[in-house]
Amino acid sequence: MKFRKLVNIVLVVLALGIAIIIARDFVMNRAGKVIENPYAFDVSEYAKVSADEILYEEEKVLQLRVAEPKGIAFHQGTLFVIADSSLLQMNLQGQLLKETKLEASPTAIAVDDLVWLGMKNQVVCLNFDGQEVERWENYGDRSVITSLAVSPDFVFVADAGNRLVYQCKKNGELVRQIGEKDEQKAVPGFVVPSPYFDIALSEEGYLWAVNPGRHSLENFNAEGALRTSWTSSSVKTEGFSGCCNPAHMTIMRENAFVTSEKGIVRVKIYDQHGKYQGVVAAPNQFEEVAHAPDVCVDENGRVILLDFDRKQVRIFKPKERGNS
Amino acid sequence: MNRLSKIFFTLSAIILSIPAWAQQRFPKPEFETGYVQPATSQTSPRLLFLEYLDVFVLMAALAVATWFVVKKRSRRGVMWTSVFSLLYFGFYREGCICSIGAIQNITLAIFDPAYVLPLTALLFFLLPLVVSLFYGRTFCAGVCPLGAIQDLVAFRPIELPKWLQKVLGMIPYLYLGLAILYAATRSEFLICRYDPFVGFFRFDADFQMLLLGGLFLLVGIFVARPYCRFFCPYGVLLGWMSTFSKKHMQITPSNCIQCKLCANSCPFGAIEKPVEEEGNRRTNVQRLMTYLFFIPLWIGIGGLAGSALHVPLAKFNKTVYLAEQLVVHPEFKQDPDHLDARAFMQSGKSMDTLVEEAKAIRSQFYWGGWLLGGFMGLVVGLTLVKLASHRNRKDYEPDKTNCLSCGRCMDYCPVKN
Repeated sequence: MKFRKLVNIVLVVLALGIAIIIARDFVMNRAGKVIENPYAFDVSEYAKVSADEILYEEEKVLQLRVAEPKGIAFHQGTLFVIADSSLLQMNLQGQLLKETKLEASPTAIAVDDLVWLGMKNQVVCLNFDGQEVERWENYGDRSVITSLAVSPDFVFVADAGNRLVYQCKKNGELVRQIGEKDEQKAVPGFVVPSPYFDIALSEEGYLWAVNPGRHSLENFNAEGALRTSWTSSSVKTEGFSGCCNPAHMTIMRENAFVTSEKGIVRVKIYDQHGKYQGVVAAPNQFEEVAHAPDVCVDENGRVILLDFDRKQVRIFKPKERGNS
Repeated sequence: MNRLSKIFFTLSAIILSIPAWAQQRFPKPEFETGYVQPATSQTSPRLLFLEYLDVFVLMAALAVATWFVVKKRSRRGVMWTSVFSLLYFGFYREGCICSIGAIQNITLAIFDPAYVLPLTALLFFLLPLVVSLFYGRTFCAGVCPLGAIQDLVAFRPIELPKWLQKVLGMIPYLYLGLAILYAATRSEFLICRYDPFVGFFRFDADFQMLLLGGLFLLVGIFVARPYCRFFCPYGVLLGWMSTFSKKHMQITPSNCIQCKLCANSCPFGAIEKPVEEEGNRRTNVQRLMTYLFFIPLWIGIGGLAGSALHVPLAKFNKTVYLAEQLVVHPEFKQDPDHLDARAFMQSGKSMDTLVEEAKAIRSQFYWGGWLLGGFMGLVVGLTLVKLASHRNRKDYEPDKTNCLSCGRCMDYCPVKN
């Protein structure tokens, strides 16, 4: 009898369990009930950055009074910002030194003794007073100029539309096309799914170009042949992820790279060999949905970001040792 | 009952295809690259000849099980047939296609003109019923994988009190009615959703469903085949058919010696003992007539209750639930996390259209509630009539409605010739 009683108790408990499971599931998981999206692509874990990895701290913010910032460059203490249909020259205190109205909205900027502007498919050169010095032939309808780099002898033009870098003399004469896909020479070409295709020059004057579809940075010799490259493809902080990253890049002292990414928006430092060093600005320092900021550096190693969403110039300085 | 069953067969149908939402991962590429996005591919359907192979296997298994039960009177043969069915229909076919779930396909085919009923589903639904009409529930004995997996764990079956069996025995009728109602209103495939063993067959289910299956098997150690007896909606239909079977298995091949071994061996309490009418016959007839007289009342009460429940019942329809939510909380339309609201907004439908659709579905639930409640009232009324009626029985006999034709009683019967 004791056994039968025990069985009865067990059966009642089990029956209750069955009833509870069915009722709970029927009510909780009813059709149309708001449930967690099982297909959600949640990268929030990858957006977290350890405090130890953050090497820079924000020093200063300069608010811009523009509708649509487009790009930034730094040259000899002056910030050059292209925004709307204007070229702004500012000092690091945020004081506007000069504003030059342009006939169209520029897409890229580089500065040496002159200001070189990419105007969608054409390069225009201005002096610091805003007077036009050069205007080259355009590169056709397919062309989308996303970046410029200037050496003492050449201007390099990154054309995302044609997936090419043009090496030109300063009068616009084309010297060579770099990175053209050539299956005979096993040159794979640039993979540029969207208009994010940045270039910069090393301290020695060699061209570095982002190959965003491959998450690579590629280095070319003086003849335009591939010299070296490095790739860091990972959704983790130390790598690049998504369809086209890094979206922006610049080179600072000791040929270290400053990269800026979209998707998971963050700015990072890599050494001259492509080894991950740390973070300048973590994802939580940007808007929840943000664009990759354009980057440049000053002579003191500070990283200057153009935050497209907040319409700010944000200056980051290296953390002092011992600071957390 | 047959008429009722026909009425309920003709009530039907289902489904809400739940759209799958994909979320944009990263900013999309913005250039034309010449890359051609591959067309979305879907898993190829099972080859047609394999579908017919399933039907052939079903027919063969039914034939073999029936032969073992009716002709060979072999419990061992039935058991091995059920093991084969468990392996084929359970683990190989992963519990689908299944005669139990085919109820919903039939219902859907009746109520949704856009749904094309597969011939195989129709055959899986009909064949066991036809066999049951002639030979009893040999499908339950040797072909149903859900029955087979429970049969294998019935180690210490105990006999439940009759009253409890009667009460629990109402659940399959309710389950059948609800399954048809939700299928007919295209709300849910309840039978598939709460198939407790499909997770085992597929080696894949969420924890909750595995737990449900595990609990059923644990109960099955002491209460043989709990799902078959107290849940299975197809068992209701098979029971109806089996009631009229002329060649149902017999416990003894010749004369019963009333040794009672068969009754003790049946783990389902499906053997009726010899009885003689007790009390005054006139009084008994009067009682029976009274119960018969009250059947319409039971139907009315049930129908009224069912119709009164149509609002909460309809809440489990996706369209109704969404409409109610958006009427009460219009701000949900802008909630990016409310996927149904987002899908509705992107469909371009107006709120008025949604509300009209919801009203139409709720109306279906109202009339469906009447029918479901009336059906349950009828079941209660007929159960009481059956309890009140007496039929003289001289020998131990299988209860044709509830007997699962497992053959245990034949095995235990000492009369072999």
